[in-house]
Amino acid sequence: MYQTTAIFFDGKTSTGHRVELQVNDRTGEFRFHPSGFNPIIWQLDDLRYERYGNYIELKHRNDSLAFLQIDDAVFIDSFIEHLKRKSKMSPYERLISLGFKKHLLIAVSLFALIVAAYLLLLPVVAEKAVTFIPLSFDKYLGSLFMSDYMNEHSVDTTRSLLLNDFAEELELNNVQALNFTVVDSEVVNAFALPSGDIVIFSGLLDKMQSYEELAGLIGHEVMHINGRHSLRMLCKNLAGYIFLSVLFSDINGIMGLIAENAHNLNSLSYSREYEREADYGGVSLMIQNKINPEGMLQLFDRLQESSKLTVPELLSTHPVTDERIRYIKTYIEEQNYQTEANESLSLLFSLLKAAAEGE
Amino acid sequence: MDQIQKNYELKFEGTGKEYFGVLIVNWLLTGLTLGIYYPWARAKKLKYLYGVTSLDGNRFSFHGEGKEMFIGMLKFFLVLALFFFVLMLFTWMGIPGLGAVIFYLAFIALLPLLLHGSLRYRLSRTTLRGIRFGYRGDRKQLTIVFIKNLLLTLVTFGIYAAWMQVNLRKYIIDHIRYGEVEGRYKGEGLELFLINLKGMLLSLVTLGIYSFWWQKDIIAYMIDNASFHRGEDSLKMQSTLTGGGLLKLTLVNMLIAIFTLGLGFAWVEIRTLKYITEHIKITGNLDLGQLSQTEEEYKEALGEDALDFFDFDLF
Repeated sequence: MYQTTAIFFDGKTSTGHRVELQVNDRTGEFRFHPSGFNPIIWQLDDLRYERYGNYIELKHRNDSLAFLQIDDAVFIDSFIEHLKRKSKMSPYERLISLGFKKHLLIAVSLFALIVAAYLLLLPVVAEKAVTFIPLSFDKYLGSLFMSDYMNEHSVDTTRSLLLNDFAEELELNNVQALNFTVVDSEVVNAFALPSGDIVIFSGLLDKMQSYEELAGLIGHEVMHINGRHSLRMLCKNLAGYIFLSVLFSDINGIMGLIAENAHNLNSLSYSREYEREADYGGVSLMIQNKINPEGMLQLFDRLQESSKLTVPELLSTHPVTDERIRYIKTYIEEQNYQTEANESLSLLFSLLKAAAEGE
Repeated sequence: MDQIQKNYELKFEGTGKEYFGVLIVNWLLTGLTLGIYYPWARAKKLKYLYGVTSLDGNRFSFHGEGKEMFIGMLKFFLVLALFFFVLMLFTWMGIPGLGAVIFYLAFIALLPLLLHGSLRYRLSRTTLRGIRFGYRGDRKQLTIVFIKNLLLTLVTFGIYAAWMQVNLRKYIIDHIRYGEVEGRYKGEGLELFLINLKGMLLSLVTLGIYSFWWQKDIIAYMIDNASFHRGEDSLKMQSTLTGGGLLKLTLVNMLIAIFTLGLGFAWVEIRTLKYITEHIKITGNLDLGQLSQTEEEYKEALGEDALDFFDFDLF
């Protein structure tokens, strides 16, 4: 037996009735007698309760409005004990009464799980998704950008033709048709689009001293297309963005901001990963074509040198760092290869240089 | 009239620790059920926040159930799906422009319906001393008020927004019932507009610092103009917030959120609710112990979750 003083509201008027509540923990009967009412008996099995700290409300499951209001800590302890003895605690109640330490542990584990899913599972799933997207989409995506871009830049037709002839001499393992364009610009840059369009700025061509360097650049850019890096990047970023916004839409503010920034940093590491893949692949393509892979190193040395004078755009997205040169060097040293002087490439390269001087 | 005026204490007794538990269990179950638990989670959260708020020693209580809110959410998704279907149909017919116009119009027309549904549900599921609140607004009237004010706001390039806010609030609060008690709101759009004008100008001049005092003025304008009546008896509300208090609250909340990497969000929310709730002074001569049940039960939860998606918090 345990008891307390409670206030009873009958759900018909707002008047509170002070009552003595007596609980028989053996029979599970809750008895009280509000003045002006018949005595009321509720069974433990029919009870619903809401608890907030040292306050509890008891009600009958058939009447959602009538309730007993109790703020007696000793009674609440006895009542919870009673429920536990009779195993009447709902799974939800049990989770809630785990206490702060366990809740914090759950929170941290959930957090770790989310981070793990984001870092490990999501990129794999996103990359897998890319294999289901037809190549025609790459084509479409790239041409969208290309047509806009070409409207704003002037094309060097002669050198574009020569550059295409140059690439024609190489086996590039490409699935997509490739199209090379030389754009007149001081900027030292080059980029590849998913459509198979590769744009090289005349500023970069002018810096090159040997056909091996040009082959290295082409190898690198073609690997971006062969590896569908743009699409993979897009899928990863999109998946990451959707994942985070679904999770944090409820919390917004600081947590969303932290997540967003972390995601931006992470996508930078994606792009570095693809750069490395293209560097290695480019070297392999050179070896496959019996071109000296040292050309790739010469290209990067030159780029790094020129970056000391001006800031080439290449720096912003694909920085030429000492580390990058170092790992390419190591990679080349690990390969077995034979090189042959390639006369047609050499000729085409000198024509490309000559076309520039003729301007 | 020699009625005695008394103070009614509005108290918020939630703690960060307890609320953190509620939210974490919600997250856990929502995650495990791949989001299906969401309406139940929302019900639990509201139950907690209402249950720790008391007026004159009696706690509020939220009776909404996850199941009702789940059905409400399903209906909302069905309506959305229908909208998108219509949009696709028009796109397929080659007139996507018309489809988009219809889509947005239908969406705007849906908002007052959601607001109406949400108010009816939320208030009918809220009780104090075992007596239900209720919303007796008319769906058609609310829609007319909403659309009319929205058009005026559009035509005046947003200047009318202050009037729209006040007019909607007036319509809503005037139709709130609690037993025999009726809500009343006496705000004027012009006054809110002037508050906003002053707030905007001074915030610009003070590089944003004044925005806390502006915020205080807006909240005070909403609260101070609401009152509750039963015949001659009434309850009046008055906000005792200060701009400095809001500034301090915001700064400390930011520090908590940053240094806990966001995990302190439960404390941030509780501190905010406590601060705002406990700075509402209620005085009057209404006897809350002498009311009877007048409002019917309303279990249709369409709108309850939907408005949440638009970040529209009712109370």
